[in-house]
Amino acid sequence: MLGNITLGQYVTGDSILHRSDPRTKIIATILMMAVIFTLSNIMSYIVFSFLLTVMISYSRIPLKYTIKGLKPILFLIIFTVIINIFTIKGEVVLDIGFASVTREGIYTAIRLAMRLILLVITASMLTLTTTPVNLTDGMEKLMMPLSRLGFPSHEIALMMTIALRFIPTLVEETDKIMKAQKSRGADFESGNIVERAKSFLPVLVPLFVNSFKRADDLAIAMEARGYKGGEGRTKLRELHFTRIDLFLSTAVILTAAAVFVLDKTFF
Amino acid sequence: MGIEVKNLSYTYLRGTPFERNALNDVSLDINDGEFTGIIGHTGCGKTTLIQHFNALLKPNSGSVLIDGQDIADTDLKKLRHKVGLVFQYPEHQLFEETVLKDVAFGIRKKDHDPELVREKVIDAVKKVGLDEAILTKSVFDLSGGQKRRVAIAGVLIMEPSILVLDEPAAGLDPSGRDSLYHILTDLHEKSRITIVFVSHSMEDIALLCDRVIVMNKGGIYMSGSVEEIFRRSLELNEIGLDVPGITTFMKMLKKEHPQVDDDVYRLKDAKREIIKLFRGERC
Amino acid sequence: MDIIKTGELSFTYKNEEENSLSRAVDEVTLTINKGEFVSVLGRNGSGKSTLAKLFNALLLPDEGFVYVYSYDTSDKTCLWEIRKTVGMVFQNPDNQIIGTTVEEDVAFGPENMGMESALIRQRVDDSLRVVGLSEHSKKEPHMLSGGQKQRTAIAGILAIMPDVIVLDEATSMLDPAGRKEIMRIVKKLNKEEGITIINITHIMDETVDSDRIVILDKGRIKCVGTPREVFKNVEEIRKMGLDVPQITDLFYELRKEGICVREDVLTPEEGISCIREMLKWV
Repeated sequence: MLGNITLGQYVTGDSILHRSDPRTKIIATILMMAVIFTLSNIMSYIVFSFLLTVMISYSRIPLKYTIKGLKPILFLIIFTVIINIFTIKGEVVLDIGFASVTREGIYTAIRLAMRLILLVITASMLTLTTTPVNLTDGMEKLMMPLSRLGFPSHEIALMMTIALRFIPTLVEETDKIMKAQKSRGADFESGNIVERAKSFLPVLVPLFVNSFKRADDLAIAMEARGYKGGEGRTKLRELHFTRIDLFLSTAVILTAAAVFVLDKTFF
Repeated sequence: MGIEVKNLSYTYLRGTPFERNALNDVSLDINDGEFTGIIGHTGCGKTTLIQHFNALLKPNSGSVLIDGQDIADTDLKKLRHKVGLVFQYPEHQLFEETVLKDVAFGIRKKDHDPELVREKVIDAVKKVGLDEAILTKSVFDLSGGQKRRVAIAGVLIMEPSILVLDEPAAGLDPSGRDSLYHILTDLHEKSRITIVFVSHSMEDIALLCDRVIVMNKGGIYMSGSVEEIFRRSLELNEIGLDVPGITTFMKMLKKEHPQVDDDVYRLKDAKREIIKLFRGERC
Repeated sequence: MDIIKTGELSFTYKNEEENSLSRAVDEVTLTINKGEFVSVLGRNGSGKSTLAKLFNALLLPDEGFVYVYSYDTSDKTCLWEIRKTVGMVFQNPDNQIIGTTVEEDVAFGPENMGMESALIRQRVDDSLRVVGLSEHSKKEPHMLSGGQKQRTAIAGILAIMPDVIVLDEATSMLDPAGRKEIMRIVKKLNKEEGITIINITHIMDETVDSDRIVILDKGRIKCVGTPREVFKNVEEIRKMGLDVPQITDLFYELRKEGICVREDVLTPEEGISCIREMLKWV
């Protein structure tokens, strides 16, 4: 049933963002998210939003995909807004009897909401323009210096790739097992939390058992194809820095720094 | 009454850009006590169809009636006792610590007397040709063939009046497949249970079934008795299916010896015809 | 030329719980010639999968030996050479695909060998072309049919350019269409590229065209020969839980009835000409 749905949020494209090295994008994303956390003035958030919009337009990804990424946290945003509006002490602006809205509350709510929105959209920029396998390649390369200290960066990257590869397969398998158990009278819907959790045992146990077998089979298949660890391994696709990365990283560093400075000094 | 399907249509992921029409206006009847085969290529809709029989899926349009009752209105628990569905590679659903517990899973809510449960488990396990001694074993310690039988016993224990099997012999070697088919024919003869047998193999359907339904691209291509279907080999060829090897051979033979009856799909019948040919020529 | 040679080969699975030792492969002596298409037939539990894994040093002999060309499989220094020479396709299509896309998976073998990127690209493109998956190179595994998954596995092996491909029940989880796909490619590889094929299976239909058939039962070789020679022994094959082609079975039954027909009919065409012959004598 999942046959046509591709993994991750990647949207095919040929923009500057799509063509840049995943390492650049990962570091840029981390940098931008760090800056977002330091901003204290609402004006700074507005400026940042404007810059982010410029980035979105460079990516040539339709706005609807970026907005879609906000859906999961919509509830969180509304919750945050409500909590902050009503609980922050300060100059009362509106009184509803059992609760009061303060000016400080409104400002804080807006700030936090914008922060959340900007964080999610920044992260989305990464996942919308980078395929999962490119992401793990990028992360592996970034972690490589650590492997000299004994950190298993290749193994971790491989595990991430294999996990990504099998998520759709596992979803299908779960579906199959649930159907088979339903056919034997299993009920996943009725009962309280505890009962419902217990009812998943007939699904989880086979899933786990099959996963162990799968891991075994995979290991054998990998060995049969000459896998002997990360030493000496090359890649089909090599990562290269190009002028695009230079442009992107310069742009991001400059604008992030500019917003940061503006926030601390002017706003 | 059995199974009545009227103008059934079903589309996966309706309303999304990925939607796929799996069944298109399908109508068919399966009578009580029949041993019916369903054959067709991967993607023809047979798996989608059988999942309607126990209401795992509900029709987008049309209706499915089991023993006269619309599945949309039936109590699901009762329906799933009446219609036992065995998926492909059913051993992948085993999970309990012991065979006894796993086979009993289907009836654990209905029957609470452990003695009664044990009796029913033994009964089910015997039906699939296994011994009582297997009850205490862990399901994960069994051989592939044993696991499959245990999984089937887990469905039989609910005493369904309709048994639906999706490629029950998938992955089994010839002797495993033969013993499984003996179990099915025995079951059918002794209890006149209605059996729906989904398969890719014309030979297996010829061996076991009274009637055949041939599906193609979400619809019924042909249906009828085994003899009726196998007479139409050219139409079967058109959708990439074939009659059993024996039938093909007899048709080739008929071209040289018109007196031979090529309405044959079982080995013993082919043998009989060829002997007749030889003895006939002698005279 | 001998490409794989075993001598008195035995292997036992050590079963810790019961402390019982069952010989999965029992004194098997077998020689496979370069360019041959050999089928190893046997029921489940006959030891055929175990034998397959002994061919590429996934398992090591307890007794006896296995040589791949002049490499001894029990010699650790030869391990990777052997694995480059003998490629293996496994039974479960999903459990041997590691890459997130078809081409990523096919590249896995060459990546392990430390080839440079441009050469990997070439190997991947060539292998995908041979198995007919060039248009699907960017697809994710869960979007593939069983037959396409196994073709991906074959491409992944071809990218290493082995001399032998062992199919360890590679078609048993496929539907008839998928099985045909795989057997067609494998036969092409044998005829056109000269790749030695060892097809481990219990599906008799696949073996009728092989150069030789080896029948294993309880870890021992029970029968070796051309399909014609082997399938004559209908009773013995049945006893080992295997099938013969329907036509062979039919003619065996006719022989039992006293009708003097040939013992080695394998195809409907042979059946027809045999009957034609016999009727001349009647």
